[in-house]
Amino acid sequence: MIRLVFSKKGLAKYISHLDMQRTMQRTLRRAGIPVWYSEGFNPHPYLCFASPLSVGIEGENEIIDFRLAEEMPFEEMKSRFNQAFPQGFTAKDIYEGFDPVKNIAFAEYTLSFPKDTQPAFEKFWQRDSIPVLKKTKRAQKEIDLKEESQTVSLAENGDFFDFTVILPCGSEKNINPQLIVSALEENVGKINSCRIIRNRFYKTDLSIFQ
Amino acid sequence: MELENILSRVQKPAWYSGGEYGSIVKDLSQVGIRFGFCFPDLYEIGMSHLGIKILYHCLNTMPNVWCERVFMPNLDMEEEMKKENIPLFALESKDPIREFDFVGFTLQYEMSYTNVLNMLALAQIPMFSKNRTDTDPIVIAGGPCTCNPEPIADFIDLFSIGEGEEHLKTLMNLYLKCGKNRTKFLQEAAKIEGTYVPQYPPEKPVKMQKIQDLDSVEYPDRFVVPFSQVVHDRVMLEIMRGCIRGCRFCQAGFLYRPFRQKSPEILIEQANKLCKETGYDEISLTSLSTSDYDKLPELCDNLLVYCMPQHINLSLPSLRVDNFTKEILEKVQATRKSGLTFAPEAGTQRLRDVINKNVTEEEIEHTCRIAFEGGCTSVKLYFMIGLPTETDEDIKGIAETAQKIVDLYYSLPEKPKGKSIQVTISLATFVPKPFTPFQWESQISLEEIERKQKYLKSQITSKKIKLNYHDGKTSVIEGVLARGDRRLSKVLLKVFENGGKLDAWDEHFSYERWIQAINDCGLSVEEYAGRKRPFDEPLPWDIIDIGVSKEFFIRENKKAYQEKTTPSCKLQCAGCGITELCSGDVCPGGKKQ
Repeated sequence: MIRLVFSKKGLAKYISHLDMQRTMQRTLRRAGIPVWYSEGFNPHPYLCFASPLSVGIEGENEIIDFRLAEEMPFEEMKSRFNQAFPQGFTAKDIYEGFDPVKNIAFAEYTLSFPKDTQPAFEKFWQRDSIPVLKKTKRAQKEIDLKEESQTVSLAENGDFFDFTVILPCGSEKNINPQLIVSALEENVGKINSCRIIRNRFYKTDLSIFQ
Repeated sequence: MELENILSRVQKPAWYSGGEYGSIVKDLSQVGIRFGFCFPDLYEIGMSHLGIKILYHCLNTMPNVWCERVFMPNLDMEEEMKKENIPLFALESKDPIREFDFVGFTLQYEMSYTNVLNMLALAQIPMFSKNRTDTDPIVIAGGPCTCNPEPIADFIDLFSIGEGEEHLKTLMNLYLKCGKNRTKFLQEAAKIEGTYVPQYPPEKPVKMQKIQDLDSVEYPDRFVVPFSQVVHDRVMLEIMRGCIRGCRFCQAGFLYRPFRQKSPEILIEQANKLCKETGYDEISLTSLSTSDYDKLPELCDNLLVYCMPQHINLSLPSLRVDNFTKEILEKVQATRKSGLTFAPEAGTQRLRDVINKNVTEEEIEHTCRIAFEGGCTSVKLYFMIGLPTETDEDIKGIAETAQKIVDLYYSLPEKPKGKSIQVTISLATFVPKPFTPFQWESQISLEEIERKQKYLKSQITSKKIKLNYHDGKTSVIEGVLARGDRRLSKVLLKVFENGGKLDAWDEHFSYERWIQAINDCGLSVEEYAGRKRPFDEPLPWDIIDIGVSKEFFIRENKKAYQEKTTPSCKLQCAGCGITELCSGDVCPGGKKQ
């Protein structure tokens, strides 16, 4: 197995996880990557996505694992990917020997809010607890955003301020950063243009997943 | 930024965000003409259409023209766009199309007409041609429905009649020559063959444009590859145009005459290129009747040499039952098994003779036998109700044909083990169309449609037979629009003003809204669709000359009532007149040298 690390930015954030499967399969074909096909009635390339990215969130270091049917130098593969990718995608790294996807426990996100909402946000985030309802397919559950998240930084960035936070991101527990935006909106009203980027993944002990 | 905000609130943002692989973005400083190619339906439908891919490619090969795609937004997107005052934009640049030089609609089916009006409104372009000025785009239209342009003529500045690959380029060059002056361009364009400018009524019928040689005409070497799933999401390889069959109900069979084939060498080259460029894993051979392609075995063999090792699936829609061979079936199944689809269209031999669908029961059985022995367990059959001279006997025949297939399956010792058969009847209502031998015929009423549907249902007893049919109401309105005249523009406007849009979608179509509008305008369904027209009545579409003569259509109509068939063009020339306009490779006297 090899791992492709890529970014998914700009309007590409509107491509859903389901559409990503299709998009990646076609990119692999266009790029002429000798990907391994499953045997059987309906052969298809086996692609393993690290963690689905919600529609509307950009990704800086997204991960796909796949098998090769024959060798190809990683540098060549990378440049082939970059030629074959649709707008908004960039292949950043390809390597072997990596942490298994099941070891992902957290993800780091940067939320960019318009600067004029900064005072309101700071006040909001100083609370001891921020209970929100998390909807799953079956039911909804109350969770405390403050308890679940670990603030990394809060920094000015031109007309915006960047709030970087680590949230659970795994099969056991997963918290969508859009919950922070909606909770804030409940307090300060509608926020236009909040950009969210998923920066990277971490393991249980908060060491970087790679 | 407003666009980004609304995209996060709509169901399918990927329908509006553009950026698909293969979409063409040009440097504005190098572009002289901006063209918004509008498909008046949702993205998932429009992106499935081959014509838009061909013309998108043709226009964009002109260095000074930038052609972009525009689709009808879904209702949630439309609402958001209105709220934020975002006018209809093109996917590539996101620029409002009202700033473009041309806005072109492809009219593929009558029920999309209200979408044309809606898109003009969303684009903030004056609805009526007469109200547009030099600062507005020139609104043009093409596609099969423009063979009768009258119902929508008040909204369109110029119609491009026929195959557009060359005609559109001529128009673009003329526009530059006219200094991009709207009035001058429309005046000059009206003089060019294949152009209908309603403002300048033609002195003689407008001749439909045809491509003489399909091998040398441009074909896309890349497609825009959508992110989200669309209806036809594969490499479409057009292997020929036209049809040799002359089924009397089929408008396409006459509109696309003469029969022209592409050579296998060219097709294989195009297939290779398109697969590499798009990354698709399926090729579909497209035409009106794939099995009439002369060198089909050779083409399939050579395509499979390329497809098999690359895990590319080959599909062959539009196969006819009569010349279907085991060899071809095996080739289709070589990459992946799929069900069989046939279109007997009518349930008895008598009625099939009337409509000139030269298919016999023996042939259907023969084909199914081959397919069943090859492991196939599902058959889909297309039939129509409401055909001229049809009686309940003919409808009963539909159920009997399906039952015979079920019985055949169980009688075969070599049928697939332990598997059951599924025969699906897909039932459509016959709508008489312009430029067919049935263009004078009466269309059955809604009551009669519903009665016939119920009757067929009562005749089906096996659980292995599934019957699918559509609400007959859409067919009634389609019938009105298909053979309509200029007075229908008022009806279209009224329907649109009363909220009509996406009328090809059952959940949005309102029969009552249409009937109300037709009545309000003092018109009737009976006048357009219900009554039988005499041969000598002037027809709204007499202003168009598709190359097939009215005398031929009258002859064919009379033969229909005599239950006499007309052999295919390959066997004998029926003298339809198309050789006057363009000579195809099977027209006598017009054989390729």
